[in-house]
Amino acid sequence: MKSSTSDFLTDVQTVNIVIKQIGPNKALPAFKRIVERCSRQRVIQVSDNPRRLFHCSFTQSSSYTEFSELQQHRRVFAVIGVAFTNGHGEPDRSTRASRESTDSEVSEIEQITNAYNKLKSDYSNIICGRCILIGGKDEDFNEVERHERLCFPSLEDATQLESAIRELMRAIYIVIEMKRVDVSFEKKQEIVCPTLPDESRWQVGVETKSTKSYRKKCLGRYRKQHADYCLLTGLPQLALEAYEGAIESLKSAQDHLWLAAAYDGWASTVCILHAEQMGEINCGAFHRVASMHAMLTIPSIEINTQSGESLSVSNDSVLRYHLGNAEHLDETQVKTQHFSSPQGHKRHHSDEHIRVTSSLSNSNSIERNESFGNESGIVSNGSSPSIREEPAKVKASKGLNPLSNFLSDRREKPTKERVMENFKNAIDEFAKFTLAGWLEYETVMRAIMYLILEREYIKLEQFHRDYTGKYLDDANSFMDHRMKAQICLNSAAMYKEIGFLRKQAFYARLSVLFELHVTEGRVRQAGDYKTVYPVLFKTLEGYGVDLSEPHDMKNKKIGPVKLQIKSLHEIFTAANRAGHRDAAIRHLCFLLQVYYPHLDSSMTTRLFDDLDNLVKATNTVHQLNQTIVVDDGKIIIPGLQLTRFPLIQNPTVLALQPNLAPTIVPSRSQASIFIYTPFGKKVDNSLLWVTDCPGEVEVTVKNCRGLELVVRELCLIVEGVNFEPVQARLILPPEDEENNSGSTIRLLGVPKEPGDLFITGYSCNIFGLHNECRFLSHNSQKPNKIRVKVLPKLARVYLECSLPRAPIDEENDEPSAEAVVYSGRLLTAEFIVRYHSDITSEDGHSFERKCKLPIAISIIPAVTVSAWHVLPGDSPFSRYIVVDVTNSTEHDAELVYSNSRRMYVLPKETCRVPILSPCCSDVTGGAFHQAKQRGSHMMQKMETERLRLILENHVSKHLDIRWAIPALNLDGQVPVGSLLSSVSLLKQLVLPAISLDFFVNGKQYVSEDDVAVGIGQFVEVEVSIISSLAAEYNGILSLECEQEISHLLGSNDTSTFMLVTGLKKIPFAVDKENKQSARFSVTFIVEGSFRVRPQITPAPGQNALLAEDMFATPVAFSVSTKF
Amino acid sequence: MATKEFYFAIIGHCDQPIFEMDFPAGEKKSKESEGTRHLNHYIGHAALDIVDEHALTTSQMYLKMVDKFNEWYVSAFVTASRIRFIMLHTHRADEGIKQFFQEMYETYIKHAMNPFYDIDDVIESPAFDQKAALYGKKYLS
Repeated sequence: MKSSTSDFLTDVQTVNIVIKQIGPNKALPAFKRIVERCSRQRVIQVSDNPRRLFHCSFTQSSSYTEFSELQQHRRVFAVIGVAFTNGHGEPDRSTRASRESTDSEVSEIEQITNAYNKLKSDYSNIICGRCILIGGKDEDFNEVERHERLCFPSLEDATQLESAIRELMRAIYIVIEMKRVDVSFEKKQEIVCPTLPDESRWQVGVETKSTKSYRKKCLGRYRKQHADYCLLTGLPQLALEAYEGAIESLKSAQDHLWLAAAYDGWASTVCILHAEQMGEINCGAFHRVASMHAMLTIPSIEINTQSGESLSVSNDSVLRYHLGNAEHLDETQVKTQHFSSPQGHKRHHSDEHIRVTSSLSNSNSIERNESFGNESGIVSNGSSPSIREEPAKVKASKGLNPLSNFLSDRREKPTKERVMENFKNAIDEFAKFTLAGWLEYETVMRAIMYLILEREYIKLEQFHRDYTGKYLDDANSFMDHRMKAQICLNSAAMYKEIGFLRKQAFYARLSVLFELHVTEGRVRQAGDYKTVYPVLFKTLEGYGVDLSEPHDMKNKKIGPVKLQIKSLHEIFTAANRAGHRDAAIRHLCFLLQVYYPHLDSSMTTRLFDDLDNLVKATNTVHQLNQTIVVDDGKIIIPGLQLTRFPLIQNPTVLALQPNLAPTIVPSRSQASIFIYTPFGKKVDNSLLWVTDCPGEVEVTVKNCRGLELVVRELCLIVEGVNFEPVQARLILPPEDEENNSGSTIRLLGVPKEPGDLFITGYSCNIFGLHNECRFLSHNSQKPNKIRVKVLPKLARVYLECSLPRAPIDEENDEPSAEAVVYSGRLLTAEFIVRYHSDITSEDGHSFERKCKLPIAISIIPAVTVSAWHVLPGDSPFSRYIVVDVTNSTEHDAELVYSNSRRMYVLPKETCRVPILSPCCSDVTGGAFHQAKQRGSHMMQKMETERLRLILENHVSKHLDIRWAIPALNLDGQVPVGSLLSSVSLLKQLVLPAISLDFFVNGKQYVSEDDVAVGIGQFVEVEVSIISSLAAEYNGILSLECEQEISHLLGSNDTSTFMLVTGLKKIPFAVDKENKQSARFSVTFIVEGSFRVRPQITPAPGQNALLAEDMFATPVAFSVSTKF
Repeated sequence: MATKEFYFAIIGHCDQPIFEMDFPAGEKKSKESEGTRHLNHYIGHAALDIVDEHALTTSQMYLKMVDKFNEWYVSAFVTASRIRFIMLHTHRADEGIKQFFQEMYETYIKHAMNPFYDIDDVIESPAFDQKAALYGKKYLS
């Protein structure tokens, strides 16, 4: 299998050496290491003037060796058997030294010897062989010839392996070189014609050996072989000459197969020369030069010497090595650069060669010509036609065509057209032989390689399409589906080399289709899928899928979505069937993450089912963030951030609670001398967290699935300081039209040490997978790193209250208290303040925290005053304050008033409480009137307030109503504040100037009850006039009668309904010491309810009495006809 | 003789098809034709490499037949803004395809000048559909 297209070309100048593991003990890893070490020696320099390189390849199998006579590069020139004695290549020396020879050892030695001999006999045409014995004693293997034995105690001790391999290569070289210099066939008359093993079978007719044509055929074949030897021994220039001679002879002899090989050889040699000129093929390693820069910058070549030291030299000095014959070239590295197309594919431009060759013509032409000139000189002793020395100068015009540079002096210049024509000739000639189908294909690939070198990509594509199509056709029964798959893979590799990634993807996928082609009686195995999985994986780039790039969900231009989905699904299927469970999960998650909006519902359901099955299949949790290595490290699948399920966005770091949030107080000792300076370092108090104090980050969470989404172990990912995140579990409802804005949640965590904390992302367990994602910024797709400064552990003041805790506000959970009290109760609460401090200041700054304890008090009414009245008391100097008390509770309330009087109030009921209060003698009756006579409003208010306070003090002593609710074990005071603030009430408790006391028929009238009388019945009404005035007051007392009509309309004067016999008006003179009585005899002439009210007319010279100056309770009469 | 089939696609700058149409238009899409559509996607996508290569080396917009896979030929047209028109066809009809591309180019320009249309967005205009069907009927039958 060819790893790159250039291998098709380099193969023609490479000697095949088969290396195989032999013997009973197999150690594959150790054998691989040996093969790898041998392969590093694939090129040796056998001559430095001219510089000749000898190429070897170390393969484990060889194919088409039946054509080794036709094409010498197919021949196996040597075999290497690798045997491990007991211990798999790592035997213990001490045990081995003391070990006696046993039968088993003998049989092992014999087995190895036999296997080695068999290996040599399998390849009968070999020049020599080597048997590498790891762990064996040299003398035990006398059956193997001494010079073929390479015994090493262990692989690590096999330091001479490389030099032995180089020695083998030199031995092969010498033999081939001897064959090359032997050109006696040109002069011999009788020569044996080289033939293929089964050539006689398909040859038509009988050949006459004496004919000129036969002679030409033999000569042509010998020349062809001679040319092959030239090529293998590092003399391509001579090979070209020899191939030309062979073509000439074989063409005239009509020897089509050999002619095809000669054409192929000629064109391939031109290619090799051309590639060497370009610096793209050297020492067996082919590297593409992809840009002008790379061409102008001389690539470096690493040279390993025998002693192991390495040095780097530039490419232009490669031709001038003077390190001895044993030196060899190990690896050539040419750094390539690619042009990028607008579509993002790395590619070459078809016009590159013009620029490339022009640069070549300037830099390398002299070196090149010297080399060719010398080469022709060294072989002048042979019979090959000599080539005259080329002039050192090359015309600038020749530089335009790379071929013309080195073949400028040829008889016929091998133009591009001629090279391609010869390739086509070779293909056409090979096509005549079905058995040479693969040879024909290899020629096609070499022609393609030539077009790659010429940067003729359009022609290449057309040539490739025209010539490889037939191999893939169903009609082509010569090749099975595996060979066709291989052809497609080669095409894919070729397209990748030229940067045609889309073509590469197409052919790689086609190769998978051939690989998985099911023949009769065969089912696809896991191994088949293991083979195709890496191939499919490498097509992703061609379809524009980049697994490593963080996916931008807003990016609409993600390429050919349908193809990407299909190819990703194919890769998922291949990985799943190949048993790469983790890779399958990763591909499935990538598909869902990137292409979820483009998937139809049935496919989405199927994919989620597949994911569920894969997750359930094992107990280990798949880590989406970890890189997966598949296929011995050949495939590396990067980690994935599954940000779509769920969609977590807009991270916002919240400040700590007001009682926990610190503020930085700048050090006063470092105060600036400036009042203000713009250069002053501002203290940033915006985002401050405190060690051991839980911090919160608010995020928006959205479920874009139509099903409920369960997110487990959701927590923050931070950097910088030690942090303990708090894991959360979410159950997100399905997305619908109403619920598509997402919900806001808070993620908690406790910083454990001070410093700069960077909140970078979150982790969660989703669908049974561990997922870690970075927060992305709003606009760009840059990672959003939120910096939070964490302060050292700070002191904290705890405020506690004996009252119960108030309901926590959503925004604030600082300490608070709540009290529910009944109106009139005495409230008591204890406040405990604890102070804890082990603070250490930083940078001279100090930190400050504030704490408060809000208390919510709810007052529930218990027993309240709903109304009040003032009624006359039991004497003119006392009043009854009648208070209507309402019990608002659900329980019976007991009232205690006037020291020991008790009363019960039913729930939700009102009762009237009479409280006897003496009149206040400190305030005169006209005091309020006088206050209103003051000069200003303010003075009036102040005087009124003064009077009110005097009265309040007087009344409050008597207005003490206590309540008790035995059921609740509560007691309190009936709130009478509203009474005491009422000036109109208090006014009535002032001792009036004149008080009138009524006696009806000799009895004092105290109640408001009506006095029942009949019409015409005389009633004796005695009025006692009492004065509180210091001075004597004179006046005339009379009685008036009125009838109350209604509350609204008031009363009507009905004095005519009342007859007074005797004195109607009685003069009086009273003072503080002397009171006077006046008697009236009255009768009513009309039925009804009447009220008799005294009327005082002041004597001349006396002031008229104001309403509030006189206190008299009217006497109510109920007059009826019958008595 | 097999029926002439055409698959036309306009490919955006990120290789994404922004418009697709099969000719002859109006036929009911069977399951088989859906499968063919997938194959067309793959063939058309693979041909983009060679289309881009042609676009770099020639100043012509119409690139004639650039690729072929099995019975499908691929013709291409590259606009001045590097939007690629791809035509997969089972029969050679160079002249008709050329004229179709030319007409579609003009239609595309008119559509691209719509201020509400962003370059590389999927073309969902029914008028554009009708025009494409009309020109397909005219030149590709």
